[in-house]
Amino acid sequence: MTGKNGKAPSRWYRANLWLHRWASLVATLPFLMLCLTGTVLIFHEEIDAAMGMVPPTPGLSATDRPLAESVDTVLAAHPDEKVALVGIDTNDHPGLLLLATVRNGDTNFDRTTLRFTHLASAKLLDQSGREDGTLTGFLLELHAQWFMGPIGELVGALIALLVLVSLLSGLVVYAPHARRVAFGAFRRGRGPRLVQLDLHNFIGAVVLGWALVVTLTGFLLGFGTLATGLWAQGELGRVQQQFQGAPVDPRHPPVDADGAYRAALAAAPQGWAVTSIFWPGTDYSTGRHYTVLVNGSGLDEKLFRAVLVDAATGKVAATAEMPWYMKAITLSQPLHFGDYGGLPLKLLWTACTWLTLFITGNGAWLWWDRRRSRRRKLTEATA
Amino acid sequence: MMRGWPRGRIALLALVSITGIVGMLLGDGAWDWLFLALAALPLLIGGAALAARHVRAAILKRCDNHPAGDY
Repeated sequence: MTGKNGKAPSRWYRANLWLHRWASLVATLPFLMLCLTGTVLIFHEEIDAAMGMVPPTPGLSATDRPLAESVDTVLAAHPDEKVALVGIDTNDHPGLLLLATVRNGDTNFDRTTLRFTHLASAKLLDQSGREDGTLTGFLLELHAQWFMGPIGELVGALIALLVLVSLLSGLVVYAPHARRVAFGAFRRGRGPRLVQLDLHNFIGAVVLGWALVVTLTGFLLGFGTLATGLWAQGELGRVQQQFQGAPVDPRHPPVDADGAYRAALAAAPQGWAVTSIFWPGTDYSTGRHYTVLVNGSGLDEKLFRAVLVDAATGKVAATAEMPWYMKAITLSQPLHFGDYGGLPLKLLWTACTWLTLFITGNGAWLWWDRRRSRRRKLTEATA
Repeated sequence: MMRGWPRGRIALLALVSITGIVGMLLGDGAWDWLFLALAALPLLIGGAALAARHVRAAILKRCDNHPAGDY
């Protein structure tokens, strides 16, 4: 191949071509799997609802029962369990309270069972389940961890890094092609290779922005467990050590969930809401304190703050913002799965995923076809 | 031969798409449609380019097949 003005391609171009070819080829098979599982995960809310994993939302009610009533209902129905977390999502699940329970004495969030109550009646709903017991939970474990736990997340980050290299080097490799072929034109009638190459470059140019976002966020999410552990041992660990005190009974803390809710809300800026309450005695709280997550709207909706509420006195002990790396990972989640903009955004995500799936396969075919034709020429030359 | 889209224009289109994707997450709900349009702009432009080529090819084909061409 010759470069500009018929000259041989530059070293910069050749280096990028090499990077584009090999980074893509190494990532091809895992990336195909990520695209396939990712397509299903875009619609995880709809699939979970259709499979009865999440109950239908009754809508907001003016007469919500106290949170403590829901907690008591769940504890009465499951005496060998304790509540680890309570979640309130007025946007996606209005009128429902999500309770994550775990066996008494256990603190591991990976072993929690999700239960739901109606906020208006504090009645326990039939639907309950472990996240890894659902179809989307299974696919998420494959997509995010390759069934290898936190090590698998790092493998995912490595694949994302390879794809990122492939995208950026692909932009460099694209330049000579753009000088020869008009945007959206396919050189038909001159063999399948040129048509596939034009398709590859055209679709690659169209999905580049989306692919950069999804790949970069996928890379960051690969460090999710590592960052959470770092945060739990670092900033959160320091707060936990600073506010040690006599532990409370994690099944029945003296101050109930409503007390913690009110105290955290009073310490948050006006207009903010409580989204989650971690019970005393979990990895993300202390033996004496609730950790209440509060957020606002717009950018503040994603960048929540943690409020430590004393479960014995009901007073706020400390308020902490997330460290920058936790903020980056928190923001990465919706940007990666595209589940924050309703059906139109999900359809855009699906279209881009399928187009990316196509150029991944067709890129591998282009490499294989070139290799095959070179071998054939070599055989003909030596014959 | 017609020149294709240079690298800078493709990078700019990618940046517009990224702005739409991030803007939709962080921006006010009232701007969602604008941000969605920005996010989908590369696809729309790509689709428009393909459609334009098809129309152009169809017109040229009809011109080629026109009886006046025999004279």
